Amino acid sequence: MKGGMVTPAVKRRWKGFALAVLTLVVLSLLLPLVFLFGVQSRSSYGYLSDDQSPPGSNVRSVDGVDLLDHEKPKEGAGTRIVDRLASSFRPFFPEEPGNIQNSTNVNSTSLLDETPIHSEGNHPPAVENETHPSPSTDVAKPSPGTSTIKSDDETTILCQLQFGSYCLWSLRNKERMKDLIVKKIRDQLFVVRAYYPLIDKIKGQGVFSQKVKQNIQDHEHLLGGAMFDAELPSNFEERMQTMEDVISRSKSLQPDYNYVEKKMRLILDWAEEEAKFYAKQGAFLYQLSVQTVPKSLHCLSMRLTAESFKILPVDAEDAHAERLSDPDLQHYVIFSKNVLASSVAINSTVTSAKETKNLVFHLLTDSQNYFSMKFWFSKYTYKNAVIDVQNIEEFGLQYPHGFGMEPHLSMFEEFRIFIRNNGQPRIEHIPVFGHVHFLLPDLFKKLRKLVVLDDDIVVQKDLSHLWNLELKGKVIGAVEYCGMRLSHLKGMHGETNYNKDTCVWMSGLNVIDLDKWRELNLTGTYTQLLHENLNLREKTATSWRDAVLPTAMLTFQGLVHPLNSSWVLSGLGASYEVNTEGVQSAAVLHYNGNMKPWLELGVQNYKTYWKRFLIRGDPFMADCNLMMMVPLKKKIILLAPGRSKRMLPLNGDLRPKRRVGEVGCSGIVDSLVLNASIECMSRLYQT
Amino acid sequence: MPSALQRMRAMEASLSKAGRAYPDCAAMATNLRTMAYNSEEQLRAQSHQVSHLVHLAAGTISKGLHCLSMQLTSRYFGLRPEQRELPKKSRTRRADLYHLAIFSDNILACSVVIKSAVSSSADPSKLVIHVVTDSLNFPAMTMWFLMNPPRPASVHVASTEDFAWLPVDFGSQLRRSVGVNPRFVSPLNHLRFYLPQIFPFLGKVLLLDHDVVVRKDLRPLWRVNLKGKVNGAVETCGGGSSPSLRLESFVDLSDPALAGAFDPKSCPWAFGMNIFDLDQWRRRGLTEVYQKWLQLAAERTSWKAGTLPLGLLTFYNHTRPLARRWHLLGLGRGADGAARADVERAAVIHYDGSLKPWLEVAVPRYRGYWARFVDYGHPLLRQCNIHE
Repeated sequence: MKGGMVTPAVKRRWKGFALAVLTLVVLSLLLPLVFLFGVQSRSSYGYLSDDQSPPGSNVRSVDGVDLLDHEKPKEGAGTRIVDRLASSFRPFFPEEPGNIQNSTNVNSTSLLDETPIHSEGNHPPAVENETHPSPSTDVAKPSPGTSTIKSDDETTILCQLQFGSYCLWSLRNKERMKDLIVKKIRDQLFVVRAYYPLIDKIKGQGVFSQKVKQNIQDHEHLLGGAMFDAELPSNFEERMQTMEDVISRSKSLQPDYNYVEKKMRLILDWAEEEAKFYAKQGAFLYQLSVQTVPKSLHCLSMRLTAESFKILPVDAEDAHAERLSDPDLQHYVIFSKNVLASSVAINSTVTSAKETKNLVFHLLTDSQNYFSMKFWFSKYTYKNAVIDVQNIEEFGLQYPHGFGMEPHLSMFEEFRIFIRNNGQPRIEHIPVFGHVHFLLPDLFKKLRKLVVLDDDIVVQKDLSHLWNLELKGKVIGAVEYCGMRLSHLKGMHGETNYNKDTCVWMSGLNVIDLDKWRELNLTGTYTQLLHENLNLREKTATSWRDAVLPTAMLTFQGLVHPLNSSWVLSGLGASYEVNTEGVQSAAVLHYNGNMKPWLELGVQNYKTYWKRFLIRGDPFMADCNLMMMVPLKKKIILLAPGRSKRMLPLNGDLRPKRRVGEVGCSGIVDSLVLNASIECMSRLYQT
Repeated sequence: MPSALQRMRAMEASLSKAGRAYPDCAAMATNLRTMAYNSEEQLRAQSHQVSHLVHLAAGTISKGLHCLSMQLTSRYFGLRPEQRELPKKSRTRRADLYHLAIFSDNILACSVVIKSAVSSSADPSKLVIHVVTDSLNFPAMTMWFLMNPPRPASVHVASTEDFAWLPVDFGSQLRRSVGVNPRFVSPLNHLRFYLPQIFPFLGKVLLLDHDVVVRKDLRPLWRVNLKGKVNGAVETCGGGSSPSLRLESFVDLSDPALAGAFDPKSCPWAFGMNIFDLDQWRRRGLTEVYQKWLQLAAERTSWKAGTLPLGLLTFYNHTRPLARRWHLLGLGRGADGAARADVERAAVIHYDGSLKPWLEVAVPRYRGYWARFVDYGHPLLRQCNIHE
């Protein structure tokens, strides 16, 4: 060892493999339950199971086990790979030899206690002897090699398997820090801590031992909570030199490298465990933030509800009653529980429309949101368009197959789907109709044609062309997604007849020929298929919601008129890398995915397209701090208290006791300043 | 292209092989340091993000609670105005009854405190519970207790809007004093310093936080001799889970405006369950004392005015320690926050910390003490998908 300071050579190496390290670190974080399965002729599909969507959440993912079970008998076991790779989080080894042997003693420990899929002894096939590019050769090149990029993509996808869009967010919000000196000081601390317990044991070195201890404390003090070089006190150079001397002397006293190494490994283990812990916690908090209601939106809904009773709006309905059922007008239907989102969808549609007096919007919501929406849309006018808010629960709709489910629970569904095509893994968010959509012909008995919009869209072009569109005998116009076909869904339905090459289609922007729908009695078909589908599985609230994807696809099989893909640009809630040229030219932007534009965690750049259509100057929005939908703060001042306590203690016990008293992983209602908690994590993944 | 799995597997293999084959200790040490460096970097980046996410999570509310509030609000306004009054309003001023005060915007939490207090009381008909909430939650809170009256006790809901005496800029003043932390900014949290104004007709009131559960009859608290002090509270120094807490742990006493006036080593106490002598409070003008410290905090950047630090200063020398078993803290901190035996004998258990029993992250070990007072079969709770 050439002294405690980082030598320039080491530095260079570090710089270079930082990339590789990044890859690996991400990898090691997400490895726990990588499961790839269902390799069919050319691609494999999986359904993600980590997303714990409660009813009402609009992103669904289907339990992977289901699919696996259904597929098992059909596919030869040999062609299937059920890979469950869990890793002991072992960081990267710089001087690793290029040639690699088959793994024999991989110690598989999962990051999570529960893994959704059990491989049942079906161990992954041994890795062929392959030459792994030695990372040390990449080192000198600062530009990322293509292989690194590819593997980055892949790791991100794999990370999403487990943690969802948290991974995207996390990568995107990683900061470049100016912290070279901070790192050096940490390195010195790392070394000296490994030596200290040994020095302390050597007889006759009491004075020096004290000095080492003092130096460690000084160094800790020097570091304080500093994350950046700029935060260090000015005397750091002097201190670092002193420490350097202490380390040199320690080395001369202590030749037992094995012991030092052991200590170092312990310290390392600790850091790794802590890192894993934070990753889980981050993912948990992220989930929490996308699945709960922002307090500002909660406040707005409450205020509007209260106001709706205080100020009785002039009932404009009568004036519009005729227009609501006039089949010659352009009728748009939006199912929504979010007043701001539906307002943006409608506002953007009318703003982009050349002619608005023939536009009618039917906004269908549940009883919970009815009053606030009713009030809002009576308060504001959207050019000459008519807006009719209805409570879907008041229609007295019955679901013969509903298993006690309420229709409003299934207004919209979104499926996160893991796709592996020719080795290129991808995650797609497929929005589909909820069960309630299948009641459209009954809800609008007098109408012949409808355009159905999701509430997480922004319209940028005049949509009147949609009304002139010839559906050519089909029932629904929709943008198709041919990266996924009905054959890939076969684990999800029985032996029903279907054309396996049929592409799936997406909701968001759909034209519907109601006459044709009624003529073909598609609602009846849907009900029947749903029954068949549900007979395949246990009847729970979840399976009822899960069934909607295959059932909807089968119902409209052969009846979909594909819309030109330029109509909708989707994925603005699922990716940071949507093509910005596409944003300019698309008629409709669709924020399918977790990162909805009204959430803090929405993608900043894409939020701007959405925010343009918010109502300005609304006093209730102002009261509820909704005017300050501010960009994500890059630098967070809020640090967990006692951060420096995470520093290692001096004595033999190298693992700091996590002071559970000051930790926790959620601060939804009362608390803000927290670190971490073991309980909260285990609870999270038990559900 | 080899899959990520294969890559990882290969990596594992090489790691273990290299580990065995490496005889050069100095090089090994360098490698270890490199790894440590990487993990540390990863760790810091993550902890940084986590603190941001915590911040975000604090700005959200669970779908269940949102739904509950919304449903109750619309039901409230569906009532005729004369139906919106809670019964037995006259009892709110009677000094011969036992008055409890709760400041909260959380309906579920309030209902548990009240239900537990009523069921543990030896004479619940003499209990009067005052819930103080904000204007946003007033309709929902009132509706809940109209639907679920805690008989035979009586409950009264007040809105911050009703307090005409409250400085107009109370909210904005608070925001200046305490920074942007929404927890501390909530005017509801700070209204506890105005108890004599809120209850002008009362001589004594018991303040309960909304994250407590009452397990014993609390009437003896009104008979505790406070010996001229204003605040009866349990102390938090020595013993238990936090042996080293002192006044200086909460307040930066190096501030010249504070130095000398306070003993840094004096024992702090806890909010959560406090019996207040409002007559003594008025006599000593402690609300003005509070305002003074709040003002001071506004001028400082070095310390932030949480309710506890301000309380410790305001009630310094005006606090009488109560026996520990009256109020047990720590149930919201973690699995070892409190011993089971202590929980069993405590009169009030307190889920202080961030693992609130109504959150997904509650400590399973302690959640039962709270959950038994929630009627999960209640139609509204079921409708809002709030389940155990």
